[in-house]
Amino acid sequence: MNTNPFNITKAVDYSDEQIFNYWVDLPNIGFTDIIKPTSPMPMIILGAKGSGKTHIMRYFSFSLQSLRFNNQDLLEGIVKDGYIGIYMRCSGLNSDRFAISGLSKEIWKNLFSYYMELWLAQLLLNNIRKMGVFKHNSSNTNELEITKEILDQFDKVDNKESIVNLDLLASHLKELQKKVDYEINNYRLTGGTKLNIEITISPGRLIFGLPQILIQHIAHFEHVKFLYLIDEFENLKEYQQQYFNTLIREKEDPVTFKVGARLYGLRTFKTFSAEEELKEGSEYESYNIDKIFRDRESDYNKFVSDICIKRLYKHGYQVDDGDFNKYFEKSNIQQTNISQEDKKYFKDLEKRLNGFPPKTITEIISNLIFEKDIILERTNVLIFYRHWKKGNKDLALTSNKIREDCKLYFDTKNSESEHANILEYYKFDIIDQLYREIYSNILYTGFTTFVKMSAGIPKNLMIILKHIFRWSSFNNEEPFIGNNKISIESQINGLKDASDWFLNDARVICDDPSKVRRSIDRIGRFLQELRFSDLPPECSISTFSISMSNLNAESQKVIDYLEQYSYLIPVNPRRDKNTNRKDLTFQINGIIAPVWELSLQRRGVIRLNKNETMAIFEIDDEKEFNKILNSRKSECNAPFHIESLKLPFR
Amino acid sequence: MDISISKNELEKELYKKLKVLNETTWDKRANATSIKSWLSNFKNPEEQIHALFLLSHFMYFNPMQMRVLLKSLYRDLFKYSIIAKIRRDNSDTTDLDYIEKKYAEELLDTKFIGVGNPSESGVHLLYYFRQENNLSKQLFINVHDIFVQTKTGYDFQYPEVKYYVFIDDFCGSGDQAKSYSKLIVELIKSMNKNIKVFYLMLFTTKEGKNNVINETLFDKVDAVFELNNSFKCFDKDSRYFNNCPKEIDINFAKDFIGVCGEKLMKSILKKDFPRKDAKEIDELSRQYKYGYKDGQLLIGFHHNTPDNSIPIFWYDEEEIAWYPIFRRYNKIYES
Repeated sequence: MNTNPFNITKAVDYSDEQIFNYWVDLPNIGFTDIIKPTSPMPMIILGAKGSGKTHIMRYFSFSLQSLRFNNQDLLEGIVKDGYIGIYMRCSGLNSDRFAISGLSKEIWKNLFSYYMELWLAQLLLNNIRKMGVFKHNSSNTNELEITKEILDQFDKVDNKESIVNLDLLASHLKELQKKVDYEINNYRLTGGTKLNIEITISPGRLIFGLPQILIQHIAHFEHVKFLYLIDEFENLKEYQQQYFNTLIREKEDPVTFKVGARLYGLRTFKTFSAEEELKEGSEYESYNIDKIFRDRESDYNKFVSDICIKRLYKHGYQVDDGDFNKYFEKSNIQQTNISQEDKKYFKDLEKRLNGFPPKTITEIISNLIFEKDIILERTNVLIFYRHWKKGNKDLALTSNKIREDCKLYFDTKNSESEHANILEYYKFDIIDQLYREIYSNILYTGFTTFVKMSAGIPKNLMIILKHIFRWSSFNNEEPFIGNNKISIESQINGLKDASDWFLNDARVICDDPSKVRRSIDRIGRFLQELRFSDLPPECSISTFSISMSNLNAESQKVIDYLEQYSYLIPVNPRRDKNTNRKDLTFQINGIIAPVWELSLQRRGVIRLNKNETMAIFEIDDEKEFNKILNSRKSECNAPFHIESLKLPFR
Repeated sequence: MDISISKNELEKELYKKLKVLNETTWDKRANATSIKSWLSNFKNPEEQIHALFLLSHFMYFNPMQMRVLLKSLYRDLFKYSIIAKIRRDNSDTTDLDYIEKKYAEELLDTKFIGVGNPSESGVHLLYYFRQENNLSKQLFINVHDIFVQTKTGYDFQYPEVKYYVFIDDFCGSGDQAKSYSKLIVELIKSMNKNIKVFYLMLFTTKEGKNNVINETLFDKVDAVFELNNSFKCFDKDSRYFNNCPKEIDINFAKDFIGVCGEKLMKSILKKDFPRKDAKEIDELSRQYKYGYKDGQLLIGFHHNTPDNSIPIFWYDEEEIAWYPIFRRYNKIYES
């Protein structure tokens, strides 16, 4: 049990056996119902990095089908599944090779499509060979006949007579592919003179033709779909994606496609058919995996809990299937012993009241003290600021009223009181404020919190748990054993490492990555300042909205990158109360929320005005951003001056 | 509930680094619990943060790294030098078959010998040295097997041997190599000056290596990893305090570590040298408070920590209650 069960966080690092052994299905509507492998309708499976696309697509591959039917008749199993999964990962292709300067785009298109014919046909043939179709008891098929028919698809085959079975055919295809590899790899080295490649087959003749021949000859395949699973589509160049788009448009039964891509991975929807675009709904359907996870919150919670349980079991931990939170130490701010002198919120209030007679300041603070309950005491301070902002002139009297209300609420828990109202919305903010003021750290702890932070991206949860496990082991806590609890310190440190990993790993590849990074930092700081102001404008701040009309091309591009790289999670657009106009709404990804001490809840939404939008997502000048930020802060911090700024923006 | 999260930033950073070291190269030998126990040796948080800082620079070599170093010692310091000689003697030949054949012959005329008595680390490492380099056990002898006593004096037990290769894990001052040279190498050379005697080490201080080169008859003295003065903790060129965090003060560290070190060394020296008088022990304790012969090193191996390293890391004797972080299995020198 020395190894970290959460060490592996990338599906590509898993062997087929591991994918099979660690497989967990989504409860209720599972992945088979989502992916619909037997459906003829092609599908584009979108998802953020780490959402599990590769894991899911590999699960439907032939290799995993073989493992699932390991002790049974594989051919019968395939028939039962109703599909053969032909899995291809685009990152292994080195797609840049098919775009060396010196040759026309048209030539590269032809070469790429020829190469794909050879590659995908080999993948399919290898699966068929492994299936033992011709050795099957009920088989009366003639391998030679099938081989000949497949060879007839070619415009030219050297030594055709010598290719008498599928093994030899596969070898022939491999040789042809190697020849293309060799010529392309050496094209640049030889001074870009000539590519000595003959295209021996027309596009689609193998990708569609081979399955058609197989179903004609092999009775078992009568109702079987040939499912090409094209993963990591984002690694393809635009014309290469256009090639696959064309295959999707022109697909022929019994073939269908499932394409996996990152959120930003689709470069084009165009096809080679007069550059027409693929039409969603009629020619393909698309799903966003992490959005499904976010929308189906309770299914997602169960799903990731099951993943954790399975991983822990496989590593020898005897965890029960119940509440995972029990393995994590909880905090309770009420148990904190802190002297009046150390209470930062009173020190800050004293500073804010500077100018008032010292006697009044003492009276106000003494009225707001409530030693029996630190959360109520902090609520008193928040309510005091609220009345101050409303313009109450006699603040001493106000504080006295708060004191009386507080006592009453403590005794009666009257749900109509101002304290009840504030606590209903701001309780988590008040607790976070207290942790921040007392321990300089907000405590994001507990399994439920980490699941929320993962924002529908299972890999993020695995990363968080991996780092927490590492700290817990270092702290000698023997996590997940017996009644041991992972300390708050290990949780905090692990989370910090996970946030750092995300920020470093998810570096945006674009013309101006520093601008994208600066923008996320600015929006994070902006929300942080508001959340920890004297009187936060909203509760549970981590979400903001922008009016589309306030975005120009540049800021729109930055927002797109932030969304595509999952720094920002899109939230269902909400309608502006005054203008009835829909705004773009985003929440800061939970895994980086701790960087700016933001909430994981999604309740209050901060609406950014035009100047704020520009200051955060467009302008370079840090001073201008700070001016805008200070202007907004002054509305939320006593004595609540509202400055109207005139900035040199358009 | 213990919410001990309000550590200062430097402490957090140091623990972060120590965690990574612990889970990678340190073989989980120093987790947070043992680090905290070790820190409890020190009086106050100021001393503790300095100790933590130095710990974060401690170089520990685990078994896997030691095995790689043993490979390097054989290949880079022995094999390549013999091959270079074969090529030189044969008009810089590049005939691989010939070179390999000649090297195999030379190897047969070689004996590897561990430095120290059989209970010490130099000899202990020979087992791994042989394994890692696929060497025949016939190539290994004990130091007393070099000679056979005759009526008139000594003779070689293996007269065909051309190379005696002494292997040591660590050379701090060079004292041990000097005594070997006096006792053994001088005798070998007096009997046959053509025999080559090598002294090869995994680690050496620059000073130790120079002493061996200058004061012995070894034909070749070399080490895989040479520690220059920048590895001496409180040297003016110390790498550890170069650009160190502002909270870390070299003089403060030197003072309190010196006080601790002197106390610890005194208890060891008293035990090791019971015949020395108190004054001598006091004087030696002052000289060795940062390690044997003022080594000032921050280095340790899986099998032991050399006494040239600063004693606060390794002291593990009964006389003083001290929790070591990389314990040393001390040797008793004088009975």
